[in-house]
Amino acid sequence: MNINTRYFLVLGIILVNSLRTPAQDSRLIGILPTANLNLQVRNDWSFNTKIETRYIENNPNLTDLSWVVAKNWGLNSRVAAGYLIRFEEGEISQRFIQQYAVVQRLRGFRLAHRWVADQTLSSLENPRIRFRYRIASELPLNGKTVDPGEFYLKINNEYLNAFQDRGYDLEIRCLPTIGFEVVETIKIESGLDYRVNSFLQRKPEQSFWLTFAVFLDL
Amino acid sequence: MIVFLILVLFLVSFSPVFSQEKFEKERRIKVEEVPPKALSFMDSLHFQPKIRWYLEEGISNKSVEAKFRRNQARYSVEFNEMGEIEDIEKEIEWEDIDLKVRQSMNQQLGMDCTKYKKTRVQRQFTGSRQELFAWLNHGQKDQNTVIKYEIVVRCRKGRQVDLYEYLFDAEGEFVTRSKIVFRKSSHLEY
Repeated sequence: MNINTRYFLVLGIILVNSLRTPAQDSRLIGILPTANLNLQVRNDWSFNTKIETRYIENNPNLTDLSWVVAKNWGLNSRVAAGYLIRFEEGEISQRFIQQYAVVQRLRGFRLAHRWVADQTLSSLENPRIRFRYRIASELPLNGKTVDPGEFYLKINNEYLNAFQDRGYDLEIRCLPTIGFEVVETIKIESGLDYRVNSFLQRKPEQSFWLTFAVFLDL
Repeated sequence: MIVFLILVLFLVSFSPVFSQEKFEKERRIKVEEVPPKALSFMDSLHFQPKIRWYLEEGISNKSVEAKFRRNQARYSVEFNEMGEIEDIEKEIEWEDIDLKVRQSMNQQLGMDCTKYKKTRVQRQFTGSRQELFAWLNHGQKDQNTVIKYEIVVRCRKGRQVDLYEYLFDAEGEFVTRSKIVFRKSSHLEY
């Protein structure tokens, strides 16, 4: 059994088990496919657009479309600003995004830190402001760097501080993902997205998502 | 959802075609895959470090690298596909280099960059199998052994900041400079 087949098997077992988890009131199980396109516009400028849909019991529940413009800031960091529109059960909400990200090249892996501020406006609820921090690591499963035709492990951990109606809530996300670099410009990923919030005031709300993502970096 | 899955399958199914565009690739290999000559070189050393073996594949050539640590220093011994030794690299501190040589290198860096920072310094040894074996085993440097310095530098020129790999000779004279291109990272940022 070669190394790639083994990763597929491990991933398959994780995914099948995650789908078997019985649904409970505070848990939500769904599928989260994402397509992300990143275009290098000029030397220091890039444009990112993303579409993400949440499926619950095979029905689309929510769709996000976003557009972000980014500029390199120094050697390995980027500042970005963008706009997101959300379609959810016939309602539309909008979000403004400001982002700063640093990618560190360490010996044998890469580490990315991302700070985001976002403001969400919708006709159904009061404005919500969030301050987010995410740490993401990319570990090659073969060799020192991820090369075309190779798998990698990506682990994200994010903390979201949300302020709304003078209230505060903290959400924590943990996303272990297996990725595959098809070619230098195309990556596909699949894994689990675990989210927990509201645990500061009441019973925690947890949700599990099975993620599928494709990244095109042109 | 179906459209998404079709897109993923499409990309995966075409991957061997796209993969022909690759220019350099490295992967960790097992001891059994190492050319016997390279293995016997490393096995003959009087010290037995814990070695990680890597295979680097370029467009037209392949090389095998043995990486290990000795006395806190990182070493990399490069062999060609047949197991013939090509060079040895040792990570050193900037201060380990002679002052005169450092001054010469600083002069070049000062011309190329308005502000710079050295992020990695390596001393590179090239020579015959016997010479390199003697140096690695007992620290005995043959007069024919060629020394060069490979230095990774964060270089600011105006508003542009880039990472470069410089190669200097034993006297600190400039040999080559190549820009280090960062791998795509949108999957880590978005």
